[in-house]
Amino acid sequence: MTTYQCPMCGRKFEKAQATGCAGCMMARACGAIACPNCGYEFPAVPEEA
Amino acid sequence: MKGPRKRKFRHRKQFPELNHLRIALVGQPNVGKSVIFNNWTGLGAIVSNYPGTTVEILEGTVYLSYRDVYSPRWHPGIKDWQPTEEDEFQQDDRPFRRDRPGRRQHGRGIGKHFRKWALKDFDETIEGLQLDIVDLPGSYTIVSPSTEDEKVTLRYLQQDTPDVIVNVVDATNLPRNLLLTIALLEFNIPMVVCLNQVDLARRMGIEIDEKKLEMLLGVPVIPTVAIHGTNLKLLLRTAAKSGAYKGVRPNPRRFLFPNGIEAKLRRLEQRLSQMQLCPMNLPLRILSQQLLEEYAQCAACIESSLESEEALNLVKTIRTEIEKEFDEDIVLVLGEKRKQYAIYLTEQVQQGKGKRVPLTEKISAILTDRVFGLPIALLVLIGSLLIMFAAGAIFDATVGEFWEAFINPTAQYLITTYVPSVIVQVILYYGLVLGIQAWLFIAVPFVATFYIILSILEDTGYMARIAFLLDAFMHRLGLHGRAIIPLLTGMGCNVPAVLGTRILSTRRERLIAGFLVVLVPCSAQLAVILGTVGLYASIFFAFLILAIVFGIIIGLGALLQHTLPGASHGLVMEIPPLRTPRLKPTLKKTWLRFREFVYIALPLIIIGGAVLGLLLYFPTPDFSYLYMVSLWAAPLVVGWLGLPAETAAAFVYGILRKELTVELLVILANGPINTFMTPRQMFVFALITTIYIPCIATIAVLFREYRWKYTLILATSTVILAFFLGGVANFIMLGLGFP
Repeated sequence: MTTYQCPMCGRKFEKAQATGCAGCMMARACGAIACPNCGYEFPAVPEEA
Repeated sequence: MKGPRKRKFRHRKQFPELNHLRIALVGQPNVGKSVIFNNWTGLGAIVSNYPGTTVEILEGTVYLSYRDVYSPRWHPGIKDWQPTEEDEFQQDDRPFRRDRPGRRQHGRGIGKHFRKWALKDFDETIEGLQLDIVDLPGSYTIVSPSTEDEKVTLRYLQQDTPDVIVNVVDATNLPRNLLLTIALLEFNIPMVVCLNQVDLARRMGIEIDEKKLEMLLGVPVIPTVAIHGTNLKLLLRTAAKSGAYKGVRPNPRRFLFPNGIEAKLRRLEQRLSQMQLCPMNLPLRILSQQLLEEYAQCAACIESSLESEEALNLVKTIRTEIEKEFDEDIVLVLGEKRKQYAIYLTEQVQQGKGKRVPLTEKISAILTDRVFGLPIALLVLIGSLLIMFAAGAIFDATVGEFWEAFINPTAQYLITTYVPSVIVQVILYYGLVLGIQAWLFIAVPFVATFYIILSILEDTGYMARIAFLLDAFMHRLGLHGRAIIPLLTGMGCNVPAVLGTRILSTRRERLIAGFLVVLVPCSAQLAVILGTVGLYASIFFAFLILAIVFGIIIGLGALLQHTLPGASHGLVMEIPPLRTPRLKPTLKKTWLRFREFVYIALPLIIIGGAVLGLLLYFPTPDFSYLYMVSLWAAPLVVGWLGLPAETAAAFVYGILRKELTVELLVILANGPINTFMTPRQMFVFALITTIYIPCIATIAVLFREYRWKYTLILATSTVILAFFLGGVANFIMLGLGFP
């Protein structure tokens, strides 16, 4: 399963847990992902990459 | 040969009260809860949203089998915790009969005679129990939960009250994990501590004395390696015993606050107990701490009581006393004491923190040091800006010269020669040639360089350290925790930063953060500052603008913090280890951020440049539409700000995208900006562009997040502030003799 690690707060999470896309015009098309813990948005490059 | 027994667990008939237990897996994120859950329940998990939330919790069922119960390993640490004579069940000291290996291997039935004997046995009573396992979302704290995950965990513990808590603890990071353990001990629920990743800890040179930890915490501690399944059955069995033998639950050693805080806390607890409130089944000790830390959600619990005023006054008095005594915010005081206790526990049980400290840890300690950390962060920020400036200067001196000397004249010649229509000539020259030139000189050297630096800072793990340092620094101004993250996000782009304020738990925090975020110079605004003032006036002017803006942010933040009632909540972070950034992910991240400047900004600049060209040439080049607009705006733009009248159009364009302002200056100047503006004018222009009205995308998300009233207040106030400061800067610089 693809996991991401927030570069700001260190939280590891899966894509389904990410927040911040709702209500955005670019929702899920911007290549970014927001941390569920601190809200920091960063490019969705998986941890393993 | 007899077939397998259909009904294995007859004892459940005799002890019906023991046929069902609910075990909650609680722990901080990334400690291995889900691995344990999957090991116990297999693939039969039910994923459901916790009522009223979008947080998913996993539920699964497991039946304690013969093997689970009679596994020969017995954790020695819990040997002292046995039922007493007063309890319903008596401990049988007879050794386990291991003379029937065949039956054990097959695990079918336990035999009539054996059952009769084993019914008295301690283990026997949990055989066949149905255990409902619940995997709760990862939570750093439950005393003042701020994320939805933490709130759900607390609500579950309060309202659904599991029979047993299995607190999963990461052995490699004991102090941070024990903070949650300390809070969980306050709940009157049997608990087992699962010390996970002991193998990894051992490899790091960390040895933990689990028996001593067990003694200090007063609950069973089971060392495990979840990914290999080591000791997970033992953990399950111990958890089941803890739940089954409620009458003989261990005696958890609760954390007592030192320095007189404890007495004050007990005074409050006593008062709350007399009020007979707390319908939420929240331990009074937790409630007291929440009230003292101004945790908003527990206020309803108090306010419903008739004696609420008195209790709240007592809370206020105690809070004032503690803050006065320690000369610090109560959140910091209580947090520090809990942290000290967690560190004390760790020091007691942890033998040796690694045989040698890696170099990265030594560097990390310096980077997060209270004394050296902030100056280093400031140097990194200045260094990053200097790198951006250098990239811009090099690009200007090489590609810029080439463009001015070759591309521009050639394109001009080709367009005037081969395109007959004046309108098309204007559109092509201003839109395509000057538009692409402007985009190239702003987006590539400044914005792309900024994103490369940002990606490197993230990938090295330094970004988290900056957040940590800023948290400590901003705390003194009353701004802390989660509110810092949107401010840092705003350095990249204000749109995700505004969306990021959703994570803040109170409206007050969101309002403050929303106001400050739009003042943070985004990558485009940094490009404006460096591309105008930095490149053509002086780099010191660029730093001065940034100093003014950050000064405003800090001052305004402190003012709002003290004006708006309520409290801010902290953020628990996991500082990632320092590492060398890898080229591919860094470049990928840079491109994912930068592509917006290709797909969205470039077409906008081309269209904007073409429209501006038309406004400059029609109806006549001498009395154009832009000239008319300039006349209208002249009193403000020329009279107050001392700028060329045409810059009014750039300010209007800046609402679309901030970098458009400087790009349109390039178009207006028809070449380098210093031929069009003086250093003073560039300074005033960049200062206004950095502060005034957010771009259209930010306004849209502000409207969505905060509605029109707040958006209007915010936009208007930033415009007034920007033009006021611009005018003041203009007159000061004129007074100092700047042309």
